[in-house]
Amino acid sequence: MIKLMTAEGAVISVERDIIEQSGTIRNILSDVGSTDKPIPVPNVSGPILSKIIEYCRHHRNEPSRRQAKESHGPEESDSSDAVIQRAIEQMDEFDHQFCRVDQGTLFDIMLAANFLDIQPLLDLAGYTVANMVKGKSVEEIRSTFNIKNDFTPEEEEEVLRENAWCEN
Amino acid sequence: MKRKDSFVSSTGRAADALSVTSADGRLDFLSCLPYEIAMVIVIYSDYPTIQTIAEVSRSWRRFARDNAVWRRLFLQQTEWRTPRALAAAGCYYHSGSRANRVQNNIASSRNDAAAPSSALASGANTPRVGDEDMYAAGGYGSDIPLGDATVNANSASMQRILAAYTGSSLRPALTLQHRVAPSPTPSLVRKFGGRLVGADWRYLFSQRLKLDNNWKTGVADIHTVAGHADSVYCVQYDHEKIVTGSRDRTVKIWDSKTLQCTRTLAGHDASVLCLKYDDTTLVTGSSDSTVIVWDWQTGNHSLRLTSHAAGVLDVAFDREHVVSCSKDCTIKVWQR
Repeated sequence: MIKLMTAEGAVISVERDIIEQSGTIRNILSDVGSTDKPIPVPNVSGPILSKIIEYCRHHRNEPSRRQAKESHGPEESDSSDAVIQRAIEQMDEFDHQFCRVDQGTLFDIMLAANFLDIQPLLDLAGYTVANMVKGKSVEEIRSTFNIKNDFTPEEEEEVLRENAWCEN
Repeated sequence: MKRKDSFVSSTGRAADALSVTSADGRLDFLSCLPYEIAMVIVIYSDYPTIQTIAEVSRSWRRFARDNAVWRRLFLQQTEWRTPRALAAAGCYYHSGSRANRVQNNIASSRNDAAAPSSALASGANTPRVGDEDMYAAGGYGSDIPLGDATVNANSASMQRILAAYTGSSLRPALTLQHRVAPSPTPSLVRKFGGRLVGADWRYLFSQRLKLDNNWKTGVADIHTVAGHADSVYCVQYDHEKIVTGSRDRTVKIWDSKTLQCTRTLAGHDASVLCLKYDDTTLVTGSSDSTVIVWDWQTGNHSLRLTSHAAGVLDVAFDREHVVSCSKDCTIKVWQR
């Protein structure tokens, strides 16, 4: 078992193979070897860390996820597109349920997934937010994410002009 | 792509987030997340969404102008993934690749002047509108593996990209609207401090979209190439030349840019029904029941194949064989 110390100073234990889906933790463990001391993750709160462990536990026996990402070489044509496509395909029902959380939690998950280097989770959260944006009008997006329109009238006109090339 | 310290820079996250979260928990993801992390959201968005994102706010607009986003949007259009586009993307497309070799064997055509891609460069009549800051910001976009193209500005592939995107493209008889202005030719490859940084994908996307729209709506300028004395039966072209075969028994070579006839090949005794060429060889088939293998350099026929009993309707060839099919109901395979 690996011990992790959350932002609040609480210690959470987790199976090594589960938390090794985190590239960050994997690197730490390979550097220090096995340790009884809690590994501090000062940027991740207890509730978020629990969420993340829940995610990693579900995907525990899917080494292909990690390999899929790491094995694609530069010779793969259209790498980014293929990688992104594959990431979407790998998301399952659990994943989509997992992301049914409030915006603040989703936000924290993205930060933590990035910090812990769990690419599929970062992709999942990013994809989830992207879907919240998709199909909405500008006004609906502003209202969904509480965004103030900070364009000057001139800027607004410019953006519309720049976007107009798709409508000829 | 991932910057570990970006998290550290936002260790005050709780406070940051609270200050940007409205009472009901809504939160401006793109503005509050570190750029690279926010980009994960944007990269999962489709083209209409990216257009909308540009209109939301200043900081959202910045994401909708990131080159990496447009690179992905462009490459998502599978039918736009021409060899040249992939080369520009640094995708290591080699003409000798297996898939392509197979194709060559079948078509015996080394001509890679796929019409859509050559027309890509001919789509520009407006000077490019670009925000310099979209590259200057660097960040995410510069991490995308435009890689090799960026570093090896002198490499062959880079030369190919430049050729493909600097307007030295075919100006076909039928040119879709928005032709290249005579000068200056739009540079689709940006330079910063003299260094090439890769294609401007948003620009490429816009031009390709325009071209698609022109195809859909049939908007085109018509240029007529006159010179043959009778019906024209067959054609092949590349960036330099258009090659045609005619009922007037000749093969004519036209300059792709000026559309002037540069050479006339006489030799067949009846209509030229079919032709194929590569860098060294031109093969033609005729109603006179013969196939002629021409030497590109001299314009002489190096070989005349004469055993079909009727007109030769089509030809194909590779390094080892010439294949011809005829009105006499046979297909003949000739060893070279």
